[in-house]
Amino acid sequence: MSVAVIFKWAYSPADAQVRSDGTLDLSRAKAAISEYDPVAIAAGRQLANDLGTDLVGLTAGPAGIDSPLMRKAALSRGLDRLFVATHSALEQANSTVTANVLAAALGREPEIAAVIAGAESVDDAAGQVPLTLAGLLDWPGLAGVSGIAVDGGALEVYRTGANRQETLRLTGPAVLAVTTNAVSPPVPGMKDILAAGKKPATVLDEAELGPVTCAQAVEVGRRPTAVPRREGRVLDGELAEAVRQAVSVIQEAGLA
Amino acid sequence: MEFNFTDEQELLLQSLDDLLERECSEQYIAELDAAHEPPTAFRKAMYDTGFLSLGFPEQYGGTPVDAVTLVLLAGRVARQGLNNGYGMELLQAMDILEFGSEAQREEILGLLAQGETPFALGFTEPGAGSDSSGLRTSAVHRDGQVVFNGTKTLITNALRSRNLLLMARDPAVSGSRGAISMYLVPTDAPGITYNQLDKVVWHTADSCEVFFDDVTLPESCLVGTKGRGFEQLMRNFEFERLVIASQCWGQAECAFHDAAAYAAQRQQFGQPIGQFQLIQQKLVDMAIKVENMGNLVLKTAWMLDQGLDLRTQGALCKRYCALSAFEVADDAVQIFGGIGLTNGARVSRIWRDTRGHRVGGGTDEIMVHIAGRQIVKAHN
Amino acid sequence: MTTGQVWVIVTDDLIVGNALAVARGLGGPVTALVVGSRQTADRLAPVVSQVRHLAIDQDTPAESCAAGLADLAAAEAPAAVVGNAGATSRALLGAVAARLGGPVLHHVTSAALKDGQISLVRTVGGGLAEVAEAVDVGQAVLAVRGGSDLGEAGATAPVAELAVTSSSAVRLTSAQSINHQAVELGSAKVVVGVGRGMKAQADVAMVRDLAERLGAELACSRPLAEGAEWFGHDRYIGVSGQTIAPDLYLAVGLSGQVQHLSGAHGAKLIIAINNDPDAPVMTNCDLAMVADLYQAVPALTAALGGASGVSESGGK
Repeated sequence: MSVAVIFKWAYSPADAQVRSDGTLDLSRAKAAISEYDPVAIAAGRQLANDLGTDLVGLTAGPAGIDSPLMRKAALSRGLDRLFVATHSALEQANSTVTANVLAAALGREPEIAAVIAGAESVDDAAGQVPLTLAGLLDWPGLAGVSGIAVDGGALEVYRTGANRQETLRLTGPAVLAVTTNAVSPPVPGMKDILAAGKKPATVLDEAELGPVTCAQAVEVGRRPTAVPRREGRVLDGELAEAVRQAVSVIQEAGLA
Repeated sequence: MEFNFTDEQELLLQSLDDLLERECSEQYIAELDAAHEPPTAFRKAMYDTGFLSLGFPEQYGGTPVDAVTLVLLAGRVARQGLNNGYGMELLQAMDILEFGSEAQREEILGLLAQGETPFALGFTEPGAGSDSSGLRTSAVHRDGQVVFNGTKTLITNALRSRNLLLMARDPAVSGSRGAISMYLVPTDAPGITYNQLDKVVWHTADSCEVFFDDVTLPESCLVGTKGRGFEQLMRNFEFERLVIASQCWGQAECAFHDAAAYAAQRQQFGQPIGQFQLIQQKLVDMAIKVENMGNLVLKTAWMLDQGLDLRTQGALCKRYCALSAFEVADDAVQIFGGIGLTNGARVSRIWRDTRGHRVGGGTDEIMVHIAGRQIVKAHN
Repeated sequence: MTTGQVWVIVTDDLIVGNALAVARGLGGPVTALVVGSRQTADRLAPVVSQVRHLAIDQDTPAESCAAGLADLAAAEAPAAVVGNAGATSRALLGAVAARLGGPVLHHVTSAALKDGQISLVRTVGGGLAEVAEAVDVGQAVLAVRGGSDLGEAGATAPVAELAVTSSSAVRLTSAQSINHQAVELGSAKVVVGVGRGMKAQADVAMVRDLAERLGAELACSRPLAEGAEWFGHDRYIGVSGQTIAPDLYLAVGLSGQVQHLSGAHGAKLIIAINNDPDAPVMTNCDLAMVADLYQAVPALTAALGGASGVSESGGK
């Protein structure tokens, strides 16, 4: 039995520029493990420890996604082993295509106690893939999870909804998307980083995963999001003067 | 020639950046400097993440790593604006790990685990600064004990450390080098008194005079071999110079970025001062020095890893980095103008702390002495 | 061949105002599929043409209906299925999309029927770009964020009780109500947002004082929002959080990454307080105060004076 954790190797929009034709310029961006995924990996590690099992990492992308840096970045965070699923369908990924590839890859693990995922990816900010994956696997899919505990042969899951705090009990496998602060991921230690390169990593390619058929939305146009130009007038220097100026602007706007 | 980081270095630096963000903020460093406190909490966090056991032999729970990676990490911590935050511990520990007894090793490793400075190096004396032959503190061995008498000065971290790594001479042995031995002495041993010195630099590592008045300890406080103290200490001098150079490089980078950011937004005469040529010239020359320091430190570290002779290179590196870092910090203060002269701007602290490195670890002039001799000899 | 129905999946959070607006944009009658309480179903009755209520078993979460809902969607083939992006909705939409073999499209802002397809607009890249896409009728599963205003009330639609298979794989063993006042940031006139420049939760009190002076709502960037800790999930502004369009947005100690600011572009006036002149927010605001927020915020509060708006002179 193992615990699986899915993560994304992605660019952050904070490092991207949008061109005048609406496409994204990622030339100055560096891909990394998506911002909230280390929380998922840490939560997965905790669960795997509690269950006395392995933690298997899984990521999916087009062929170029596999690199030594990516593998080590993931393995240094507490994974026992790693699967990298590559598929040409992911050149034009949507959340269901991705979920399909992940589902096919997870089929390689004989018995999974749970699939842990992060709150949302840094680039798409949707938080959809884990839940579509649950749909494909016909497993319960729960997002907003703040804690997972082992109780005999079952899992106890905690989450806070809009109106209430819930405790849920799972007797079988599920996909659990954890909140951004479910656990505080430890900073990868020296030994983990230096040992990461030696842990097992397997690429699962299209031949092994099989074809993916999925409807696609067809792009008919795009443009940069209209953002009002703002002056960015700087108030530095003496605090009292800056505060005076800020207050006068606020008052002129009739807001104080 | 490969100038990229390896994957491991990339990940280590990312981890370090994470740790620095969590545990070593600008505010934290400023508060330490103001209160004259060492960065114990940060060091503990570094230990917990495994950074403090980098470079130690595996048998002591360490992770072997190359000098290039070490100076990259040391430089990055310095770039955060913290002087001597990381790198010096390894040096210190190595002295004991290589030459100390089992009990001494355990003591030192235990202290490192708590984020503490394992010991203060007790070398310098009123009469022995650059000239080590002036060392007079005596260590008389008799009946399984050692009695120490003498005065040390400018001993950094003495007030905070549990131990002193004391260099003392046997008065019965003539000559200089062969008389000196290395001892690990508890700072609270009866007969030792302290007088804190009011330095203008390195507030996170206070210095003091240390007076030994018939301080008597069991002979087990000896580290390594009697009479080989100086040799043992010298083993790590090259590495010490490299680490100091990395501190200079990192802090210079910090001051440079602060100054450039300030110049980009500080408005005078209707525009950012970064538009004026005199400011740009400073920034350009600062950038050149920062680049040079980095290249020199990394190349020197590479040479250390290759086992190449570092007598000249180490001295060149230390001299250049100490001098240039101070120049960069000085230009940074100038760019900041009046604010650069206040404690509110960290360039003022970097100015002070880099100034200290032109004296500590071998003065600018001693570096000339070391390298100069070698250069002429090599061309003979 | 679809039935032409436009479904809006509604869960008990009831933040489906924008989802309803998008659904109405497709023209034609809107059916609310309520996976939640009967009260929620009744709340939807005046604003849609039909309400179908999927009652959930007491001791199972709403997500237990996911497979049953997917079966229903497969059988009835609605033209489009719209929901919000809350945890439960994503699970339900995900199950539907998995069954229909198409994507769930997120950050959708509008949709229309055009040339026999569903044309929609959504934002991508953390809000950097707007993309127009076309998807087949029957393949449109859309996630639309926000909006507690359900729209103008009209005739009360009938509420039909619907039974779908419910999975027992997950049981709800306890549920404790939280006394949570849902906050509607979208309609606030003044918003004060805080970010990671805040060193400790206790420091938020200082910013709260300023917000009170301005009659403002408090909000935050993503990292500070989750659960009951610093701020509730409904107070963070950003591409996956709230979108605001106040007269004034005061951004305190936040760097202003695009994912955050994309939720605040509609603000008339943005004033940023940050000690880092290079922070992205400083070039994306109207007025940038380069200052330590721990000094600037109390100074601003004092300078703004009492509730009457009479200001005292600032500084010491």
